Amino acid sequence: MILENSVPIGYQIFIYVIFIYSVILFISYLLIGIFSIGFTRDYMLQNRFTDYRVLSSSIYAPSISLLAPAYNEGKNIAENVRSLLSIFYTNMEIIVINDGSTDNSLQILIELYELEKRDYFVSYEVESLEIKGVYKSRNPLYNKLIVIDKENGGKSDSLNAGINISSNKYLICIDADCILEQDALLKMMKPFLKQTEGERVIASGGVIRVANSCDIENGELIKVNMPLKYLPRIQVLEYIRAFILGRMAWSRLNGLLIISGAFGAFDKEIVIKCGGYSHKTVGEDMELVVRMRRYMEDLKLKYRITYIPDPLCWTEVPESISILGRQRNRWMRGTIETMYTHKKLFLNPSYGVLGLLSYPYWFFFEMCAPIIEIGGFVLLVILALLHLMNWDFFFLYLLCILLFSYLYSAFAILMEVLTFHQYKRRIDVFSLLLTSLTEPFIFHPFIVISSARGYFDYFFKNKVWGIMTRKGFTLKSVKINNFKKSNILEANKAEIKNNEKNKWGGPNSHESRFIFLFSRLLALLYNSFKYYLPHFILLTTWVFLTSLFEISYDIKSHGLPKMFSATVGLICIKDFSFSIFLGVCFFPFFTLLYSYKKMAAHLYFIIAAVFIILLQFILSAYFVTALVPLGADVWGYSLNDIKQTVGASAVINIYAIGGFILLLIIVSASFIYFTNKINLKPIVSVGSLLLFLILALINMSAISDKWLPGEEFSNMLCLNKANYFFKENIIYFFPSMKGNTLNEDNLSDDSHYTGNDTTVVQMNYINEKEYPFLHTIDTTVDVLTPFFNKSNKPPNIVFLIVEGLGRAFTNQGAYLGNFTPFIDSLAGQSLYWKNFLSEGGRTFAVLPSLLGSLPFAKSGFTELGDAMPEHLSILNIAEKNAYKTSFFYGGDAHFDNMDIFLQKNHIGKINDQKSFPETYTKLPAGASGFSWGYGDKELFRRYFEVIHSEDQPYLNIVLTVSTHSPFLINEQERYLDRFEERMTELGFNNKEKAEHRFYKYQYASILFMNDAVKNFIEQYKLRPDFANTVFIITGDHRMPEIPMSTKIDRYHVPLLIYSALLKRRAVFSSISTHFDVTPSIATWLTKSYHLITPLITSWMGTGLDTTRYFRNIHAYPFMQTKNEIIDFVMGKYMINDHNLFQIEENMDLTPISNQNKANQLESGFDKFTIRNLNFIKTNRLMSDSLLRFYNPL
Amino acid sequence: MLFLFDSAQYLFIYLQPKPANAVNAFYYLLNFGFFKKENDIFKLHVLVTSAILIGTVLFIVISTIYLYLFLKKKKFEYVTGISNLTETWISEKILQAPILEYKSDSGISKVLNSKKGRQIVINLLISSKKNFTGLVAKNIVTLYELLELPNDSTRKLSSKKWAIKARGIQELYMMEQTSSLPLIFKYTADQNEFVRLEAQIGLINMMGFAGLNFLESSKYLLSDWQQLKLLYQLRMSEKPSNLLEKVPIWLSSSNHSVVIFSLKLCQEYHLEAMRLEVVSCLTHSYFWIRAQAVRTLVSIADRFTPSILESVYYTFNLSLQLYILEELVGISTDKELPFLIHLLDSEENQVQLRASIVIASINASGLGIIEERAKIQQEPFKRIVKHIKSLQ
Repeated sequence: MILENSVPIGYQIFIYVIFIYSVILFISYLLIGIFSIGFTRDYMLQNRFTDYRVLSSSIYAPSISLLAPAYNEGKNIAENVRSLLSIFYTNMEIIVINDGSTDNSLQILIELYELEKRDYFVSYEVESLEIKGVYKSRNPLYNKLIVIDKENGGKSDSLNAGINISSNKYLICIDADCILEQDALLKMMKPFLKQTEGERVIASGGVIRVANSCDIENGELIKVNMPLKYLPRIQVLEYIRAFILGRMAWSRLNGLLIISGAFGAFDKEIVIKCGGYSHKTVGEDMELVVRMRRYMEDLKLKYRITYIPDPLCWTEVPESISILGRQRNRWMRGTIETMYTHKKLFLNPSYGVLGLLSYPYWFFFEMCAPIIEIGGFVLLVILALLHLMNWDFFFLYLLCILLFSYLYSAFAILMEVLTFHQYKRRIDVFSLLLTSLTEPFIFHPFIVISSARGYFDYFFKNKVWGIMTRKGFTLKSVKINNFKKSNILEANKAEIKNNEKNKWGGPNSHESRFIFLFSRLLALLYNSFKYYLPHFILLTTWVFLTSLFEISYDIKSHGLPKMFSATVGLICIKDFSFSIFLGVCFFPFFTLLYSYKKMAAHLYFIIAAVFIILLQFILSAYFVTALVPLGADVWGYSLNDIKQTVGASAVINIYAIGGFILLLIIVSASFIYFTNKINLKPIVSVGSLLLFLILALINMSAISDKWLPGEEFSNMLCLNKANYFFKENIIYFFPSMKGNTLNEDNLSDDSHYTGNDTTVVQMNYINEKEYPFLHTIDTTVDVLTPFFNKSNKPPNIVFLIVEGLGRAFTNQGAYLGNFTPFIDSLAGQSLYWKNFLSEGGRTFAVLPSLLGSLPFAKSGFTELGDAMPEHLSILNIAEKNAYKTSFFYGGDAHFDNMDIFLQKNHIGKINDQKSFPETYTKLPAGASGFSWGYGDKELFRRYFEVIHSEDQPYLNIVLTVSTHSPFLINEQERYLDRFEERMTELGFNNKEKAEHRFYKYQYASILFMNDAVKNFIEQYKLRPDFANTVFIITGDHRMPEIPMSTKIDRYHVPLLIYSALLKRRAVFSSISTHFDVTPSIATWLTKSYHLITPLITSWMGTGLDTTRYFRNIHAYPFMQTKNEIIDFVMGKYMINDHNLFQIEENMDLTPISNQNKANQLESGFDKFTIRNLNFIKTNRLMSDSLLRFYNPL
Repeated sequence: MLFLFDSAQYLFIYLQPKPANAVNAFYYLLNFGFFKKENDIFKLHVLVTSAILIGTVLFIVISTIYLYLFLKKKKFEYVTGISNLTETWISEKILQAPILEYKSDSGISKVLNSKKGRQIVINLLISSKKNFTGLVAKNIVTLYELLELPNDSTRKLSSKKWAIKARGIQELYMMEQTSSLPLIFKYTADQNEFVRLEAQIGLINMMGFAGLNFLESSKYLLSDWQQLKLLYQLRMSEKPSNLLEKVPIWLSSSNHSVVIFSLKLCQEYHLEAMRLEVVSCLTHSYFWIRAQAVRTLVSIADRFTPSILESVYYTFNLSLQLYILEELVGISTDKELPFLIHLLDSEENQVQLRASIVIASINASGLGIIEERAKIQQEPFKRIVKHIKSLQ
């Protein structure tokens, strides 16, 4: 639900398990709330008719032994014992157990209460360490008091010693520092008097309330106050929720599993039969209750554990984080130990409510809760990093959870106000409500982490007999380590040994194995992260340094980017986001290796990080050179193509290689040296972990996209290039991760990617299953005939495709200035489409889309190579109609498989650099000694040398190369001067000139090309065939090496149709693309010269639009790189990677938010994608019989 | 609201039977039909609706808290106001000579005209009654009657709520409304234990021991708490002469709790004449009757008691055995010595200890017996000797 649908089903199942878990938990809370209402109301009513004073002096009142263990409580012992002695209950003995205190506690008691040692007979009915002495008072005033002095053995052992000494029927166990209400014992004992024949009350629990900030005098609570500090205050809320709601409800169901160790009453006979308190757990209070219940269940005896909701016992709760953390750690350990010890109960129907309800509830919602919460959180972070989150649902879901949490807290407060109303002031209630607001963000995460540490400690530290914290009169950390002499000690040693065995030898049951592995995993994760953190910090530093290099290099190469400060800010955010992403990606394998060997993890990180950093350096350098980030398009080129491009760009030289090696050494050394130097405190590690998780959860990169400067180049500069590279490659190799959901059922819709936009031309598809793009050509209107005079014979056609000719710097209205004065003047004599678009962002797309109006397939049509399916193009149509065809190119025609494509179209002749005689001069070679081939002037010279005036019409394609990176031309100096002159002609100010000079080689090459075209046309004019020749002049794409302003800028090129046959010139503002050229030319030739053309084709285009005002009747996709089809234009709108823009009249893009329109475009885009996927699958465009007519074998 | 309506519509549409049969349903689940993207709007609505509902309930809960606090304060002010007004008036009335008539008083009439006001007056009268005896107490009852408040109390008995019913009974017996006795007696067999207990206490309160008549027909168990309350209430009545006639009847009751309560009565009032009946209870099939019989018998012990206890000793469980041994201290004689010495061989340390204490208490040579045993069997008798000496 929270995930995008493209997520694998395994993730979905996991998420839904968590979803179901939380729903059950909510329902449980709801039921707990409802159950507690009735029970509390009944209790309150019953209380009105109960006079507890009857009990206090009756000889029939049950006899009580009150057990109060104490360790090193010298400061408070006297006052606390006095408080206990002041309790009025006839049939009672008070047993204070001095648990081997090292202070003067015992001495104080002896002196104050006139104690003398008695030779008590102790029968050790339950296990406890040796009792050194039993003291009773000589003073009859204190005849209820018994003090036991024993060896130190922990709380359980002390209580067991007390049980062995006790002589009464019921036990009341309290923490010695608790403050009891005067009638606490009376209320606590009443349930034991209400037991009936059939049902025995074996234990009774009471509410524990928070005594912090309360007024206490002589061990008596005088006034209840709301705690002033945050931690105790939030624990007030927690205690109210737990005691007033939770335990009341469980009590009603007779499902209580725990009675607080701070105050609980027990049937001594059952306690002894169960063996007393366990030494094997730190959760002795819970364990005893579970054991007692189990005992009763095993014997099939009816029993009840009752609960008194009255505030009977007040205790100080931890005020410091560390003590609270240890307390919750201990509670969790106790829970795990109890759950493990009594695993037999789990969903065991023979234990009734205990086995089917109480135990599973505690197991899932108390014991597993922190693990599930942390697990869910980690998964959330991973999904967020992978951009797989559906944030709308996530935040709504989170809102529901938060509101429910607040509701539960508010309901608990309401119950408190309606019942016992301890906090009278309204401001206290308000304070509690406010505190509850912070709970999910501050207190709860802390509790979860502390509980998780409980898991860790359970497996990795000495358990019961190791370091243990327990609360006595004051909260102190107690080390219990002196076990000597006793038989029990030996047993404990055996236990420890057994634990060690478990630790290293593995657990011995499925349940323990699960818990063991889970806890160990947690511990491993923490330690691994601690070690990981310095590595991560260094990695982040290097990511920033690399970006620093990029921005510096860019400033050096291209000057200060526009909106510099915003750009730098965003670079920082995106770099940090990328670091977090890397941090999450590297961590699992790092941890895996760490579990094996620390050094292996260290080495792995260095190798991975160095690879990333160097890659980022390379990609940054590429970007500054190419001005576009490198993505998955790298896979669209053959090795030879890459060699050619890289070689031509002259980026690899001895200095670059040397610098690369030096960088490798520096980066590696920094990781080797500094990771051991960074020594972080545990608190920093934990804080960092939290921060790390929070930042991982927040998709900073996506959020920061809203603040992109807007100008395309600056936008791209902000990107972390390695992040971009990985993202694009992930999408390339795992297309399903893109997030698109295509529904093939919609394909049969007879609209052509149009949604409901009726202004867009629609096609009639014929046989979509076999030929996905096949349609009738009746949608193509003959728009060109009106502009041409008809000659006697079919006209010659010359396609002049200029490398990188973008509208950004071509003709009037170019926002970078008009650097093509001749082409501009030619436009004045032509049919000129000023808002024309190429179909590709690089050269690979131009021939198929311009000459064949062909779909892109997977990586561009030409990339299909020999597998290119037979198809129709203007070339094979021309040939069928007796045209002579040729291709002219100064470079290698095999680049981008252009030669294969042309041969597939049965071109007459390919004239590329291999056919140039030696008398021609190549373009200057770059530093690597590589040249792209022959410059434009030489190309045109060769053109005229090859073609002759013939009667047979011809169709020639000329593709220029001078305006390609590295922009080295033979008349460099001359054209650099010409560039300066042109800037002056254009009236540039000094600032504009300085900005343009960063791209002087690019502009010089453009001016060179302009002159070459000028010579070409002028020379053509001298030829007799000029009168019957039509020149179609366009760019293959916009040169990306001069920064672009928008996403559409890359495709914005001019289209000129120039001919002596033209009746009139015209300028068109409507949008058309390369896809439209072949359909229109073919239709015009058919109508005017009766060329044989097919009635059905697979052409992508519907024809040129000769409307003079700004409009777009087309809906086409665009292919930016060989692996990136993320652009789609329909009408006056464009989507780029699912972002919607409106196309302005000047071809600027304005981001807009219009879900309806976005859906229309996405729908149209989806339809293309499905057809394209079908085409990739079938690799068929038309039937063989039709094709054979145009493409004879 | 529109959103809720909208959500309901979505829910309705969603719940249309897409999975027409079990196979389809399984397939649907397998494909996470609910979680498919086409259901996103539905899910969104469910979540938003949930958030709105939870938020609304949260708002209601918080409002209730403050509304309750406000009403509580108002109620306190109201009660305090009326209490101040009536307290003085009641004090004046009840401290005067016997009240014969009630003269209308504008202030108090206003209070008595309202149900709440009358209840406040009743509460005041009851709390006063607890603090006074003699003439003043009589005046309070008279005033209660003159103000026609018994009607209010009686009316409560017909309530369906047990707490109100119990409150009515409490008011009636506190105000000594003997005319209500038949009515109250009826409630001694009420289903609700609190109503029952209040009725039973009421009978005892007004009739003394005669009020225990309900025991003969009691089908409900009397819990320890109820018994304790009844005994407490009985202490305020004079011991009747005909108790010895009634107790044997109750001791033969089929209701175990009545038998136990009767045993407690024997213990409480030292009914030595009942010793034989008590002894017969030592062999009762119900454990807790036997247990109470031991306690009662010890409280009315004679010279035969130790041997009786000795004879039943082995029929009891350990805790009662220990109890018997504890009670034998001071009443045992040389006759029981063989039995007690035999107990020194017990496997239970506690039995050995208690038996030793009893032996040591019989005569001066008793301790010697244990010391001799300690020479033969040091553990645990050496410690036991120390323990006994420590007690002396």
